[in-house]
Amino acid sequence: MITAGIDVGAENTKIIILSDSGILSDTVVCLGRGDAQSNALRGLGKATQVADIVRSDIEYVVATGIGSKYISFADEQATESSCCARGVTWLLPSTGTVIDMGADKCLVVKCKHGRPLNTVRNDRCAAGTGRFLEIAAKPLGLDVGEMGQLALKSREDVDIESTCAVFAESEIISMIHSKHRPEDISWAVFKGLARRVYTMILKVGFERDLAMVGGLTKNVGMVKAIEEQAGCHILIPEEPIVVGALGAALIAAEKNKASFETPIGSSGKLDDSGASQQ
Amino acid sequence: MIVTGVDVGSLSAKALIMEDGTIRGWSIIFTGTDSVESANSAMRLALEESNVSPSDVQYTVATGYGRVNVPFAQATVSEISCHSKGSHWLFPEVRTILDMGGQDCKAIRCDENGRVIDFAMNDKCAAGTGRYLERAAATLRLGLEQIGPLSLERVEGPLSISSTCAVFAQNDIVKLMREGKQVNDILAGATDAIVDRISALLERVDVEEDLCISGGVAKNIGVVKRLEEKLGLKARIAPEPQVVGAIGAALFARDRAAKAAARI
Repeated sequence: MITAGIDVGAENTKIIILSDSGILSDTVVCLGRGDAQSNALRGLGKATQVADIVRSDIEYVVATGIGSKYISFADEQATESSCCARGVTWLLPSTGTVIDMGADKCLVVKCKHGRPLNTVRNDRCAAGTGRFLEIAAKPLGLDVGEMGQLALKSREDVDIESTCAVFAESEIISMIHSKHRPEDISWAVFKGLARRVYTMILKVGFERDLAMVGGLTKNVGMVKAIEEQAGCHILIPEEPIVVGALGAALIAAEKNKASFETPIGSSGKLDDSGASQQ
Repeated sequence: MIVTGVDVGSLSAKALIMEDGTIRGWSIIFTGTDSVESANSAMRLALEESNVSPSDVQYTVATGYGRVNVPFAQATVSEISCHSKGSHWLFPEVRTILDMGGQDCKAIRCDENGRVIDFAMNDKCAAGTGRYLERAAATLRLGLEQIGPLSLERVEGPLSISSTCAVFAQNDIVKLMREGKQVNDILAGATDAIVDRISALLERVDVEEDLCISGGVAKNIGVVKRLEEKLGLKARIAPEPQVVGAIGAALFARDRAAKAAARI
């Protein structure tokens, strides 16, 4: 059985095509240039090419993400927390809590057996999302990736007191004026955001292992700051951006009960993880 | 007796000179990166304005965000107390004060003597402060002084800006602009949103008449009109709403100087 998962995020649309033998399409990410539906169609076209199949081979499509309701050809929609839990448990079975950090939202999901037990989400306040980093990087004249690299070179521990991204921007400008080094300011930015994320982790009920997915996972400064705050190592899958799409494809696969026994080696893994947690 | 009050806010520094209970002059300047320097230049300007030499000043009280950095002040008083005292001096019937500046918003309840009974404050989130409107104005490429009147001139129906966060609201505004919506209607939506936030803050202290609005946002007629409508009352606004805190500081300076003189 071949299924597809489509994750329509604020910035990118991610697509995974899955068969009984595993992922067929690798990572297909489509920048959100047009509307959600045409982005998804474009991505799906690319993904079928990579997977060397035709559209009609795909038996079931599950869409997730903030734009999922616009994908009219999807058979079903699934919540971001279900997809995140499903996808990350398949890749990293020992995951107890997963952070999904994207451009405009942050999601923390406590999961068990690949299902979400509890979710805390922030998409109302820029302070706890990737947007905070974008705003902070601007006065430093850096992009978010560069800021992450630079933060690792910090030697002096300073703090940004403002929570609000707007106020933090002014605070950073005064820090630059008062001659704080860019590397120290950068590290302060990541520490500030990590504190916000950590409160979300505590709220959801921290269960190890801690995993992280989503676009910001590629940022070394972000990962290190959360690791320091949480006091543990963070597990990161190889392709952290498509975990939601993978979860959607897995949910699609489960729709076929017959294939549930053998699918993709996932059910065995899920059971193992459940046992090891108890 | 000449006393002065200095209010070093996040965006502007205010200094005010008072002689025997009447205001001699004041100044408002943008706060630079150096709050000591800002306080100094605000005071220099206010003294020039009032034709007073620095040596004639008997007592200075500093207030506001940067009050600890005022080198020439003898004492500091919180901005809550200063706004309460200043508003009460201007309008003795005032019992509720809304002070809305660039970086914070305060709702204060005071007694018949201008003493603080209760207050609620937002200085953590830009969504309920002048900064929200500043960003909205910048996104629409308008000056701060333009947005108040424009927000009252609706062209079509009111537009709603669903994001609370000042950062995300900016996206909403850009989206509405792309959809070809009228600038006035977008501004009306943004102003509606902030007035909702302000009135929620005011409710936390129980509004009792009269209400005095001070701070830079008091100059925004769109905010004031909406708030009056929503609360069903008429707000009192000082001729220069940005110096109410500095007036309060000067009044504290007067009281303390008198007390000090009595002790001698």
